[in-house]
Amino acid sequence: MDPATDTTARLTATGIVRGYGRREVLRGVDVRIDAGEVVALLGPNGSGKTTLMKVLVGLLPPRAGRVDGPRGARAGWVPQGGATYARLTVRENLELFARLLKLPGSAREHAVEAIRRGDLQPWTDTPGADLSGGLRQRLNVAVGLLGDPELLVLDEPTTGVDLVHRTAMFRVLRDRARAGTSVLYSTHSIEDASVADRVIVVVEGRIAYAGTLEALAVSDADAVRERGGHLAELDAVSLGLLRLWHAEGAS
Amino acid sequence: MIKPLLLARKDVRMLARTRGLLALLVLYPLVVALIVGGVLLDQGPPTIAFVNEDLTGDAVKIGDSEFRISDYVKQAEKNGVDVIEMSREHAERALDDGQVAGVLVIPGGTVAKLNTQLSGADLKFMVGDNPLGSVVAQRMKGVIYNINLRISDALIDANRDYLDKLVSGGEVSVEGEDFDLYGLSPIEEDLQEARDQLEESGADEDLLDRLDRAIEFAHDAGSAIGLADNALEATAAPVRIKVERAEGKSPLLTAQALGFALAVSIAFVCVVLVGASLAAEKDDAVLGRLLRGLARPWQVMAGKLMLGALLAVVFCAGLFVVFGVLEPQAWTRLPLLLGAVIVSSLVCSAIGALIAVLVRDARTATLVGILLVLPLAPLALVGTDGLVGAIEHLLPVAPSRELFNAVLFETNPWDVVVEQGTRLLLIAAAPAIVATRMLRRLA
Repeated sequence: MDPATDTTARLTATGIVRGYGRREVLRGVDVRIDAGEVVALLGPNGSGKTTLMKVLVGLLPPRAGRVDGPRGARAGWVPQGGATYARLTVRENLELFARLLKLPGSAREHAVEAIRRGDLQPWTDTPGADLSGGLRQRLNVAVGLLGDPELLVLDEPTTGVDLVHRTAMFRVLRDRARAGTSVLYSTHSIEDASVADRVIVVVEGRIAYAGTLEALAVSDADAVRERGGHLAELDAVSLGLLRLWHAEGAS
Repeated sequence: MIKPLLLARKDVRMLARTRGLLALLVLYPLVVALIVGGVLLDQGPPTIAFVNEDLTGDAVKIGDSEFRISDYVKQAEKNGVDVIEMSREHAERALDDGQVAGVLVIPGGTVAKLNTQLSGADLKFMVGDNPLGSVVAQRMKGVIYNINLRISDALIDANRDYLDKLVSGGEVSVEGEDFDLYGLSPIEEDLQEARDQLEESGADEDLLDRLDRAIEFAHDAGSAIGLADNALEATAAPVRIKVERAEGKSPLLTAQALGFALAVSIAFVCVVLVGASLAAEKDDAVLGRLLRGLARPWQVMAGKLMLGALLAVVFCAGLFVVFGVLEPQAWTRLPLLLGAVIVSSLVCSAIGALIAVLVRDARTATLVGILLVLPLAPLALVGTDGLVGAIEHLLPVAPSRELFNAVLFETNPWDVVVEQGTRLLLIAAAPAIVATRMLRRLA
């Protein structure tokens, strides 16, 4: 079957409960991501987005619920914070992860291809520590894309990345989705979320919304904005998000 | 094992790029060698107390030979040990206070036992439970060997004298009583003379035959005892060596310093660097990526243990070059020493990894590692008893030091190697297992 037309579920999570100590972070979350689908994960700080992604990629076991989806090398994970070795160069980082992934063929060739896709050629032999935050993040994403995983989960991948490379990064992600990869990324940017086919909004450990971004827009945006204050600066989608957060009791 | 190797190789590559740390890697063994060697060697020769509880003195008389045990004990000074005569009470107090490294006691009745030539005697040697104690014990074994050799020589001389008297006749003394032996040779001569006279007087042939057999026995017995005379000496000491000591440094003490320096260096290097290396992977958020399908927790742990082993070997090679020049004997034990270094590194690396999983970041892991190892170094040097000693033996420095001491200068190190090697592996297992199970926490 052509992966581009394969719309069967790539990842299914049902009734996920997870916490740290006595603090409950996820309170019965259901998620479904289809093959070739790009999904953005939205939510206020501390709503459980990162915890949910860690559970979905198998990094944290859920206390309750079940996750069915790609595991190991078939699932790419791009965490926050660079997640590459500061003392290794861009090429060495990519070669190391290519070897750990046991990718067929030469690790160097995989590294060269990843450098090309991430537009990192000028920094091939630059140590991670000497890269700017945005470049380090692009290296982080390049590592996640190694081996063309079936599922790619990215935790705030555009943090620190300039506008041009943000666009380029989403172009690469869309290309991967067209080839059949399912993409889930978290973001705080409505602009970044607009690239996705669908958004999932997590508030207080529960799914507050799952659907298109456009459907989030409030119909009475003008009336809300007229009330003034900081709401006057927000677009209809942001107002819709804000309404969701307040509806779920988020501060 | 490919993934652990990949991870360890990556760590080594990153370490090599940290110039400050690399300089420390080169300088640290030299500094440790200089400090430890200086402290131990500048203390001068260790002192032992000599206690004679035998009221009859210490002069042993065996046959015509007479010697004093104290003369031989004082020969220990040639082996780099000072000997001071003390009372038993004073000596035991000095040992407890650490003023002497050991106490050699001649128990009451020792000289009388030796003088009987019928039984041996036990000398008692007490040493402190510290590195110097094992060095001094080793040296005193040499002193006791020399006393035994002297007694053995005296006994052989006395027995040879008995045998001579048995053949030729003369006076002998056993347990203070004098006997006049006639001797086999005079008996043979007397029997021959008697036989000649009987033959001339036409004695019975049967009687002459019986006398011939008696004369032949006396002759053969005399010859056989003559042969036994030489065999006696050969059996008592089949192989002997003559030791000539040249003036110079104290080799056992440098080996001791090397053992201590190795144990302390490995503890510092492995606990601190392995702990910091693992915690830094958490700081860089890379551990989560590794543990999410790229490497299993045991593979990450194995990589760190390999890193620790490699660092320990490189580190100890630096130390060994410095001390090995002073202690050429150590080179003959190189393969065994390499094994000891690796075993010692495993336990220290496992502890470093456990610290890494328990603390928040690399800086804290480094600090906790230093704080843990720092008090262990002096404890391992002085040795302790009781609860502190038991705790010390649950941590890596003291068992490592004992392992290295055995490997470096015990004649037969295998008992200690097996005991301390097993102990170290058991100590390593607990933190390695706990750290591996907790690794996911760092993700």
